Amino acid sequence: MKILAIDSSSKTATVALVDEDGLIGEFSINHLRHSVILMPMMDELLKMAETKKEEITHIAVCEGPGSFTGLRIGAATAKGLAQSLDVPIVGVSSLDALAYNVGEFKGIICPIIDALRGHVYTAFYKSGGEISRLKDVSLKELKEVLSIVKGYSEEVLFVGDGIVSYKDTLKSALPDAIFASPINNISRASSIGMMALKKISKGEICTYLDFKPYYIRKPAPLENSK
Amino acid sequence: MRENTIVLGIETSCDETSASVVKDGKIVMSNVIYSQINIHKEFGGVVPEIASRNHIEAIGNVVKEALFKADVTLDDIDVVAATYGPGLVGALLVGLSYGKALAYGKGIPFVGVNHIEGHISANYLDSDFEPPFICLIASGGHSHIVFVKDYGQYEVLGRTMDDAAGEAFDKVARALGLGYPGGPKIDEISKSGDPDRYNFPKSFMEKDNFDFSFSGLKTAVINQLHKERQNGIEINVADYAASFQMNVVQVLSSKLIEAAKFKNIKKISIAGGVASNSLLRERLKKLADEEGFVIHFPKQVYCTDNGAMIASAGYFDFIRGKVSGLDLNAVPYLKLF
Ligand SMILES: [Zn+2]
Repeated sequence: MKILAIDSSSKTATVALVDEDGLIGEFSINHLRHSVILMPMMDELLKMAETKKEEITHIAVCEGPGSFTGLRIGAATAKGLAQSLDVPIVGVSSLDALAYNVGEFKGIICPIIDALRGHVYTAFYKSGGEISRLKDVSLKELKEVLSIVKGYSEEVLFVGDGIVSYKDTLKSALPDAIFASPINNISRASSIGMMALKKISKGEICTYLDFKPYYIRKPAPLENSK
Repeated sequence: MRENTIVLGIETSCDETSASVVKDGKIVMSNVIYSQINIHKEFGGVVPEIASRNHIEAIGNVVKEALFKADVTLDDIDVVAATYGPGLVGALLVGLSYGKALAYGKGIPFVGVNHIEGHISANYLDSDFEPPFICLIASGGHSHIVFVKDYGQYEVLGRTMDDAAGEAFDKVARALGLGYPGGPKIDEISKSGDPDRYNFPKSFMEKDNFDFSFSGLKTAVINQLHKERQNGIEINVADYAASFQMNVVQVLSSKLIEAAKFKNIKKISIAGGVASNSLLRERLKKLADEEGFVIHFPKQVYCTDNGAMIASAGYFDFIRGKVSGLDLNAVPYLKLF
């Protein structure tokens, strides 16, 4: 099994090659311009890892939530690759992947992705070897997240670009909260790939025809309708 | 020239998700168009985020269907071509990213195509029409008069200074309560209207000026409507539509004919959504006959945004040695050159 993982859902464009033994290689550029760099990075990664495209068995891609356009660059790239290489797609949540970045933490892991206007995409995880989601992925006002966190007795670690955008609010509301290091705080395709391994073992795969991004938020003109 | 080069063309620059298989730039083997018009209708125009979401959901099936209808597999495709501009950036990125990945996965060349060049290339589909010719490209997004010297060699003779022709149709249709998209609605209702009822102003009609301006016309129509409504005059929508349409058609057709005379080229053609307009086709046919010009109309289906025109343009780019890199980005305001 060889998984080519892609994540362009945030400021970071990242690609990785993963197999059952773990990470073979990863490129990450935390500098936008996804449409320009994603494919060349992938090409270089495969060359440097001496891996032929034909050896790839799965395409793993971030399904969201995240930047709408970024998600679609990743999704379109994944679909084109999956169709041409005749392999399945494994969609992985951006929040699951962020939690995986800090999976060794023993308390509650709370990824927060800035969804603008005081909102974040978030979920809550418990770790201890394998991360497990405690609450569904959702769009929440930051203050709602703060009150949920105050209800936990365990230590809470925040991860994701929300900790940069809302640092001051988080620090003053939750003085004991722990924040992921800058290295663990960016999207990493390696985490997408590792989470994909688990999904593949559970048979949670799809094809280039049915994979679609998970935005949570509706497009602007429909946002206030149900 | 190489024989039997099969190009897969992908187009997602606005609200049509389309893929097509074309042989040697001319023979259309399949042309699948998934139109989102009904989705955007309720908003009175294309909503970019909604268009992009529909593109990403539709594209896999559209490409699969195009291969199936052409009775080929990806192994038979020599080149992948996709629109990289101009257009809505989020929409462009779907087809462009998909096309690059598809070509990369198969190890075949990728060619990024200029959408306007695609519209011009619609003239080559299912036809023997060849350059040199003068082409009027008129759609919701563009209005150009271009001297097509050879495949891929263009001289822009005129362009719109403000609204595109199709945009003027949409805006006037909205003012008249006809709904979206405006072009076909105005075309239809004009058939029962009096085109001489209102004499709206025409812009840039001086000799050897091939630029357009439609915003003055649009404003004149809207002002006249206001005036009549204020005076309690019952609005005859068909007369308004017919007078407006006659004005646009006269400007477009006379500029195309004058441009051909100016360049001493006796072959003309039209492309783009507005090229479907029945009055424009009728009038140009008549004018071309009077001048002894050869006029070519692409099939209606090739006038709307479609993958076949992109495949054709991609083919002629490719045989002239153009191949795009994997780093090609979408360019929303891409010029013809
Ligand atoms: Zn167009």
